[in-house]
Amino acid sequence: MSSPQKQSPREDLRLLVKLQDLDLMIREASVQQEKNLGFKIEGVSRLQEARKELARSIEPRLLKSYERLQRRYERAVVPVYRGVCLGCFMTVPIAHHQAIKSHKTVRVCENCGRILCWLGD
Amino acid sequence: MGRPMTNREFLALFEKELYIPELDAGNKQEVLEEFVELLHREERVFDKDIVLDMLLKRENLGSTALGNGLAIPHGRTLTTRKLVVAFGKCTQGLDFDAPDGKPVHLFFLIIAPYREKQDQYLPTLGKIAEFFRKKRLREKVLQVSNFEEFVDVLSSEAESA
Ligand SMILES: [Zn+2]
Repeated sequence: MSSPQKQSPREDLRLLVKLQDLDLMIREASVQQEKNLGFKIEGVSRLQEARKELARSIEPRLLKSYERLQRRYERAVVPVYRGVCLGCFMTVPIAHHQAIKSHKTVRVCENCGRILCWLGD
Repeated sequence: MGRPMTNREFLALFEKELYIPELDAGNKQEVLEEFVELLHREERVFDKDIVLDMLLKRENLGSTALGNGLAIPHGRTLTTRKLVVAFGKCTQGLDFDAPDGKPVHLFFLIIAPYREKQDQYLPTLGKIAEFFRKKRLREKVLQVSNFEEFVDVLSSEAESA
């Protein structure tokens, strides 16, 4: 079992986005819409295993806050686009843009508390 | 799953920049890498590694090859802003764990954000699967040599449908 190592906030955030993409994939697999289109969906348990593995690699405190946010909102990590948090659509103070852009720390939206991720301008 | 998609909307999804006349890839992973590389170069996705990881996990769920030489790798990710569709051809054919065991020649890659205003993700998937159920169309697309011909073939198919 791999234990989480100290990694950069940028890497933490990337792992978190991977986790969120994966959580969505698992959710959508269980509603079987794709099956109706002719795709074989047979590896849900494999994805759940991969999810456990991925979660173990994430810094525990960050993982906890991700999971807490996920219970509250549909997505815990949201993009910032044109200076707006795409979770609550409130403007993110300009003073914080650089910190979010550089991903030197993991920042949350002051308004809704979601974890912010910069997707380019 | 979103409203049905018109043929016009369907055709409008294809872009010259996201058309690969002949894939260089030699295996499943390389196909996905080649597409993701292109999407990143064209600034449609913001993190190659996250997108590739997502696509590989999706293949783990079950191959996105549908049989008859067609595959539609797809998935949703936070790292894109709008739905994108890329096309790539492999004349020689490539093993993609298809249900019928046949090599895949035609690849459509779909990347979508979590939820769009009009969620066209599943309708797009459905439309490609439906269109390419026709053997005649698959054979025609296999013969095209550039994007304009590709769109012509799809347009005339849409008109006759
Ligand atoms: Zn917010």
